[in-house]
Amino acid sequence: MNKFILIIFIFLVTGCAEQRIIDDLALINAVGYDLSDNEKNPLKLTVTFPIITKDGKYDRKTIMVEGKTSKEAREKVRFKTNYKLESGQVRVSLFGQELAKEGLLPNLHSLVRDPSLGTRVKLALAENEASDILMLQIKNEGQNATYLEQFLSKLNRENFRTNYNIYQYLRDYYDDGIDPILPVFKVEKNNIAYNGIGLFHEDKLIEILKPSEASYLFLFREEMKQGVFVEQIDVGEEEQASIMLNYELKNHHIEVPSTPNKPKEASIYIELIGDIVEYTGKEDVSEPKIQRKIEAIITKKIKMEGKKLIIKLQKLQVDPIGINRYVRNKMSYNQWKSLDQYKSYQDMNINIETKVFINSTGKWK
Amino acid sequence: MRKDRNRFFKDIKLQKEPIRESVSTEDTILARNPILQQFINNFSNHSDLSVTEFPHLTVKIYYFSYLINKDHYEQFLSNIRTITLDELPPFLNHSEFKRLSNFDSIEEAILSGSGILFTEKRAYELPFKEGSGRSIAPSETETVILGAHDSFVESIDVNLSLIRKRVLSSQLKTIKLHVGNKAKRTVYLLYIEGEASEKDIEEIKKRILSIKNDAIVDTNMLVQFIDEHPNSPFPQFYTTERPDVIAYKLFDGKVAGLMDNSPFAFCTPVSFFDFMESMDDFGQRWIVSTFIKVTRYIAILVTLLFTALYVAVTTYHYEMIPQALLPTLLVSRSKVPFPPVIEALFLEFLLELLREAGARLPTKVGQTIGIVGGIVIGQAAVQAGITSNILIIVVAASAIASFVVPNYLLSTSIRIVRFGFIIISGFWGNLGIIFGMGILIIHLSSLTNLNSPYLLPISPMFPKFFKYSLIRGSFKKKAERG
Repeated sequence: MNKFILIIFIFLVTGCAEQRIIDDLALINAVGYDLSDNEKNPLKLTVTFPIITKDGKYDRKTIMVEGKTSKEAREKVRFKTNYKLESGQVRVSLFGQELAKEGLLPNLHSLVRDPSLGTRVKLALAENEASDILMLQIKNEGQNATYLEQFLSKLNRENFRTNYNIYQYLRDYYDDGIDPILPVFKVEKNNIAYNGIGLFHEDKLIEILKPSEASYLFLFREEMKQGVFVEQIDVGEEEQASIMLNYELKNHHIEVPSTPNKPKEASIYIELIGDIVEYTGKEDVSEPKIQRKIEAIITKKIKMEGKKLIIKLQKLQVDPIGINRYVRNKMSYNQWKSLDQYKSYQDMNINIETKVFINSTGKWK
Repeated sequence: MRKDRNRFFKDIKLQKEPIRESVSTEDTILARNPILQQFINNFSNHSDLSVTEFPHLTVKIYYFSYLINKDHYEQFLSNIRTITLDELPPFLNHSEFKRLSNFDSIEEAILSGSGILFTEKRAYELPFKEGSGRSIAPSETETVILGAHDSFVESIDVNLSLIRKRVLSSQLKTIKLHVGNKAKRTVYLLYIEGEASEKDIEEIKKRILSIKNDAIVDTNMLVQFIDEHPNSPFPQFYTTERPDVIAYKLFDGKVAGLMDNSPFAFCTPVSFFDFMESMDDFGQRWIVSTFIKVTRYIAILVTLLFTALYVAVTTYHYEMIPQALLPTLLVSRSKVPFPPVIEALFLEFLLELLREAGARLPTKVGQTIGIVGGIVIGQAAVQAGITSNILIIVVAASAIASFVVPNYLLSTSIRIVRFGFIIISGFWGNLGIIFGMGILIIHLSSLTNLNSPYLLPISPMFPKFFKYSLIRGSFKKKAERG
C-alpha cells in the first residue's frame, strides 16, 4: 500500500516535463546574423524552419526580424509564427560579412549558452548578407539549411577542410597560437556557391581568400590529408600546360629553430605523393624523366605561390596555419607572454620546403 | 408437478445406490471387511461406479468402467472365472496385483483407473489402467528446427518414459508427491543423484506438499503456487513441453517436476537466461548460436524500449532526430490529432487485441484476422490520420522482436512491461525510460527461483559461466575443461 502511495506521489507531485511534441514546433534549422541599417535595432536575424503545408507537403518558412540582440530578435520571431520556436535542430549558423568584421563572439556566445544547441553546429560566412542566402528559394532544393549542411560536409570530405563547427572555431579562437577560418558562401545565379575562406584575427573577419588561394592555405594546414592540385604550370619557354594532381599529404611539419629571444624564422615542410589525372602538355608524362621535370616545376610553383600567400597572411596579421603554436612550444610561458606575437609573426621569415613525388600517371600510358 | 419431481428424485436415489443394494443381498462376510466398509461409505453416491461379483469366490471388484481398459478387464474376467476358491490366494499373489492396505491408496488406485478387488479381508489393485491418450506429437509452443520433435502428452507415464529414454542412468531418481487436500494430483520430482542439490530437492518437496489448493489443473498453474514472488510479471519456474530440454536440465543439476494430466514439465532452479534459450542453440554451430542469442537480447531491448523511445523523442527530445529522418517524421506526424503517447498506446493496444484474438481463434478464422488487422492497422489507420507511418514501423518492429524471445511466458511478460515503459516515457521522456530501466533491473535482480538469484551469472557475477548461459560456448572446450 505504501509503495502504491509512493508511486502516486511520484507521478502527481513531480508533474510532467514540458511537452515538446514535434508537430507543434518550429524546428529552426538555420539562423543567419547580419547588421542592419536600423540604428535602434542593429541586428538582423533570419531563421528558417520546416513546415508541413495543408496538403501534407514538406516546405519551409523563413522569417527575418531586426532586434537589439540575438535573443531579443528571437522573441520577435516568436510573434510571427503559430508554432513553438525551438533551436535544438539548428545545423548551420551563417554570419554576414559586415557583422563578421565587427566580431562574431557576442553572437557565438549566445549560441553556446543555449543548452539545446550542440557544439557541432556548423558555422559559415556569407559574402554579403546571410539573409540573402537563407531567403533564397532554390527550385526543388528544399531546405536551405540542409543544403548548406550537406555542402559543408561535402567540402570537408573533399579537399577543403572547412568543416568548421562551434567547437573547432572556439578552440582555434581561444588557442593563442592560431586564428580561426570559416568558409564563405555567396548567392550566384539563383544558387548558393562556395567562394573561398574568411580569415580571422581573433573573432574579427579580416580578409576573404579566393578559392584558388585557399587551396594553398590548406596545403600548409596540417588537417589536410589529401586533395587536388589544379594549376597552370610553365613548361619550357612561353609554353603553359594545365595539370591536375590527386595528391596525398605524406608528411607535414613546421619547424621553428630555438632562439633565446625573438624567433626569426620558421620552415614548413610538406611532402606530397600524387597521381596525374590531367596533363595538357605535349610531353609524354609516363616517362620518368618528364615526371622528374614536372615534379620540379610543381615544387617551384608551390614554393612561389605559398610564399606569396604567407607574405599576405603576415601582412594581414592573421595566422591560420598556426605558426605561433610552434613558436610558443619553443619558449617558456613568461617569454611567450612578453612576446608581441603578431609583431614577431609579421617579421618572421617563413620558408616552405616542398617535396613532390609523382606516383603514377593514370590508367592510360 | 410436485409428484413428478418426487418421482424423479426417487429414481435417482434408486440409481444412486446400486452398491448398498448388492451388499444387502450379499452374505455378510464381505461386510466384515473394514476397508470395504470404509470404501462403500466414501463412494456411496457414485452412480458411475461399477461392481462385479463372484459369489463363489467371495470376491467383489469395483471399477469405473470408463477409466479402465476393457481388454485388460475381459482378460482378467476370463482368468478369474476358471479358478476355484482354493486357487484364489495363489492367484492373487501374482505380482501384477498389488495389495492395498489403507483407504487412501484404494481411493487413488480406483480414481486413476485401476479395478479394486475385495476379498473377505483384503483389497487388491487390478491393473486395468487405460494406456491410451493423445499420441506424442511435435510441440506447438516450442518448435525447433534442429532437434527432437517429440513433446510431452497428458499421460504422466508416457512423460516419464520420454525422460527415462533420454536419461539412461540409475542415478535418475523420482519422488512421487500428492498435491491438494481432497483431489489428490500426482506430481513426480525428478533429479539426478549427485548432480542436483539435496537442499533444492527438500525445499521444492516442502513447497509442493504445503499446497492446500485442490483446483490445480496444470503445471503452469502449479508453479505459481510454489514460486517466491507471486506479484512479479516475470515467470520464475521454467516450464517446457520438451523432454529433451528437461533431460538437458537434469544433467545440469536441476530438479524437474511432472504433473499428471499436464503436458508441461517444470524445472528449477533457473535464471532469466534459461528463458532465453532454445534447443536449437545446441544444434547450431557455436558461433551461429552465439549470434542468435545476442540477437535475442537485442530483441528484448527493442520490444521493451523501441515504442517508448519513439514517444520520448517525439514528445520531448526533438533534438535527437537525425536531420534526414525529420521530414518523414514531421509529415507523418502532422496529420495525427493525438499526442504521441496516446497514439502509441492506441496502436500497441490494437496489436495486443489482434494477437490475443489470433491466439484463441481457429486457424481458418485466424487468417481473416491477419488480413483485417494488416490492412486496417497498416494502411487505413495511417490514411485516416490516426497514427503515423513511423509509429506503425516502430510498433511492428517491437512486436516482431517480442516473438523472437523463445519462451512464451517471458515474451508475454515483456510485452506487458513494455506498456509501463510507454507510459513512463510519455510522462518523463528519456529520463523516464532510464528510471524504468533502473526499476526493471532492480526488480529482476531481486527475484529468486528456489533461493537462486534470477540474474545468476550477471548478478552475482560469475564471468566463468557467461560462456554457457549468456552466449553459447564451444562444446569441445567445455568437454576439455570437464
